Amino acid sequence: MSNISQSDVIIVIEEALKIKPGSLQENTRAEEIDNWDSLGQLSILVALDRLFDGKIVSIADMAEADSIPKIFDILKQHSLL
Amino acid sequence: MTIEQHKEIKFSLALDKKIDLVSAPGVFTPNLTTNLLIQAIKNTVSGPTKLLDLGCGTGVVGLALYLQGLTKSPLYASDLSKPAVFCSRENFKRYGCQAEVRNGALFEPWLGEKFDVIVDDISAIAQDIAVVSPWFQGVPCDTGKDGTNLVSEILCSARQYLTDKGFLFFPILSLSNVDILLNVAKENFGTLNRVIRQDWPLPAELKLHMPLLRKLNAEGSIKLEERFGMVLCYTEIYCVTNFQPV
Repeated sequence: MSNISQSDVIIVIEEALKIKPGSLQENTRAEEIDNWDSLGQLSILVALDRLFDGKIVSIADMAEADSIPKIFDILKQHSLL
Repeated sequence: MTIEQHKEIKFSLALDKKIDLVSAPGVFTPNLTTNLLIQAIKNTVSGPTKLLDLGCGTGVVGLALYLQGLTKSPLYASDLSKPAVFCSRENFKRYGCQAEVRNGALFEPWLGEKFDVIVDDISAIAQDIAVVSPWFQGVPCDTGKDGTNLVSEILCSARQYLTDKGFLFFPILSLSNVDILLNVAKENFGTLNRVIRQDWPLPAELKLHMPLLRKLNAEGSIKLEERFGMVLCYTEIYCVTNFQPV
């Protein structure tokens, strides 16, 4: 496990999607956020890969993670949270 | 003149600002490349310029730059498609933008004219991909097997339509032969700068045609990259000029 918390991840995702801080909750889904389209998904992956020192690029499941709970689950499965 | 089947579309200029546009079948719908072109010009040009929007479609690029005070009056625009000429005239009128819009291929309508800024907004992906893509429904796209035909032609002839300190902005998509286009640009201009790059995932409609894309990739006609479990493409906006900007 890393020292990175769920709230750190949410902040990084908000920055990647260029949305206001506090817009995302622990149960937010992509369809609820205008900017969270396929381009937004790529921005999230690039930002998380930077946050987790290049460990995200090889996790193929992450491309389909279209909600905050799914992202948290995948990060936990890979012992990153 | 009226165009039947016209439709209203919205284009996001900024997070909280949208432009309402009239469009029609056979007129290119603004997309990511459109946004990147506008951003690239905003990042480079500091004041009003005599601007030509080449391959203007709905006129959105010229209009967005006009709304940000980056064009002199009139704005110049042209397109091969007559519905596009109609739509762009309507859109310029809608926003009070004085414009001269002409119908014709590439620089054909502008013989003898010179501009401070030329925006190449013309199709630039491999023709076989354009046919199956979601972007060119009814829009002409005779770009050749590697997508370079039209942009190469523009790069070869743009110099005579630019003022001494003029700039040409053009997009390169990795769904065309990037290396050929960059070489043509270097052969024809003294300065080549990449202003913006944006990676983007291949849309679902094109994932259905992966055998074709993999074949073109293997032949070097396009460049695909696989990362994050996605097939990624990219768009880059370049600026060329024949003077040395300070």
